[in-house]
Amino acid sequence: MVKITSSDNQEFTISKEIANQSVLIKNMLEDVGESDDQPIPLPNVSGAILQKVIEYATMHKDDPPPAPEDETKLKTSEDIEERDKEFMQLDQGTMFEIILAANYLDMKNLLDLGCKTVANMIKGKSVEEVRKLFNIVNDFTPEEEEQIRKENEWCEDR
Amino acid sequence: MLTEVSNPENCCEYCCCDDNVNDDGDESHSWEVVTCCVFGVFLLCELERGLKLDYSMDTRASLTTRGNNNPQQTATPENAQYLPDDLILLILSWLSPFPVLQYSSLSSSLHSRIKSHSFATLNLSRAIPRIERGKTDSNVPRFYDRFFFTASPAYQNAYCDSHLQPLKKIQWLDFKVSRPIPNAISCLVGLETLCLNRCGLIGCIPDSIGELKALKCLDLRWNLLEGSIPARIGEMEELRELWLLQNRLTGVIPREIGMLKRLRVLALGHNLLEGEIPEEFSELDGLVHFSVEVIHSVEKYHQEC
Repeated sequence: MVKITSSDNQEFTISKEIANQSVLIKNMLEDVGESDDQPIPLPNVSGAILQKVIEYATMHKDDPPPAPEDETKLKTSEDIEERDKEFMQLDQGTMFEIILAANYLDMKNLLDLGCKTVANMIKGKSVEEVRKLFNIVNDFTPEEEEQIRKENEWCEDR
Repeated sequence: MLTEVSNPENCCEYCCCDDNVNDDGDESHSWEVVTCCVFGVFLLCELERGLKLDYSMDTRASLTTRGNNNPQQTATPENAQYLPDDLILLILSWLSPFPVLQYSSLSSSLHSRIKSHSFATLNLSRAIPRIERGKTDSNVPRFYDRFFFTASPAYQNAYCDSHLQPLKKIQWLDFKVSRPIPNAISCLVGLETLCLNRCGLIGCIPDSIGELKALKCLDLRWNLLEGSIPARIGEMEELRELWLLQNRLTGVIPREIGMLKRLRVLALGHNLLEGEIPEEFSELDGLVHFSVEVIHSVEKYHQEC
């Protein structure tokens, strides 16, 4: 068993196969060796989010190892397992925090899942709507914006 | 229910009013606040709507709506971005290439990165399947090959690298793209035959075409190509056949073509070329077909078409 602590000092005890889904934790475990009983601190992840991440990892602990990437197969954002879709039924703030946590913990599948889910939310949204979604400040002058619009004009779908 | 409760627009407009939970210092405090507020709002929502709400759905979105009272707080520098650019780009990479381009106007930092080669490569690997072409010949263009002509330069380069690179022969006839020949064509250094007949190609033949050192046959017949024939064609030492007839090419015939010792076919007719045939051409011993029929005006050209 492996102990991990969240940024707000909540301690979780998880099995090794669950812990190993995070490349970050896996590497840490390899570095400190088996014998160490000290909990692994994860200062970038809150307890509430860590709880969700563990839930995800538990759900996927029996997954077969990923098949070598088939490059002729299209990997689309629609390509999400039903149980994962249910897992991602979250408010947007939590979703973003899970993406941040997956990125920090180096969990590729969870990161992909989070990114695909948000990508699906973005589809069809205007630039201004996406700015709001990500809280991006528009630092272009109207002239520059017009310039970029023209730049992209000839690349339209046909 | 989802759209009502966690409408992303409502949420993000004011989500800077929310304590940043990732901020190390205030975390425990902020979580207490969050939990309290959430519970309160949760109860309210339950009563108001008479709906059974999923608890987790209700946290941030409801909290942030409360921020409506302090709209001035939006876009304070420390909360300027909720996810870092790297992660926003990862998310955008799952969209199809054309919509993604419009998001290059989100901000200046995202603009340069969406236009970059690495993003184009990542995006293409997700959006456009690698085509199983079987061999190194492509005689029929696939649906996505149009993308090579219509996309932005970074995508054209990425498409070359990831989807066209192994090809030795491209023979796409009547593939109506009505675009210029991409500069990225120069990436296909293994190409031996490039045949784009009646594709409605416009603009100039890119100078970079001279990079195709392995090319044996260049056939751009029956297009709308303009400008002069690039002198760098003289660098394509392997070239046996050069078909440029029936275009709108102007200027003089470059003498560098005379350096193509292996040339067997040189068809430049029905263009708007002028000047003399360079004397270097007398050294082209292997020529079996040579045509430079001249048309004297654009009007005549149009009549012939």
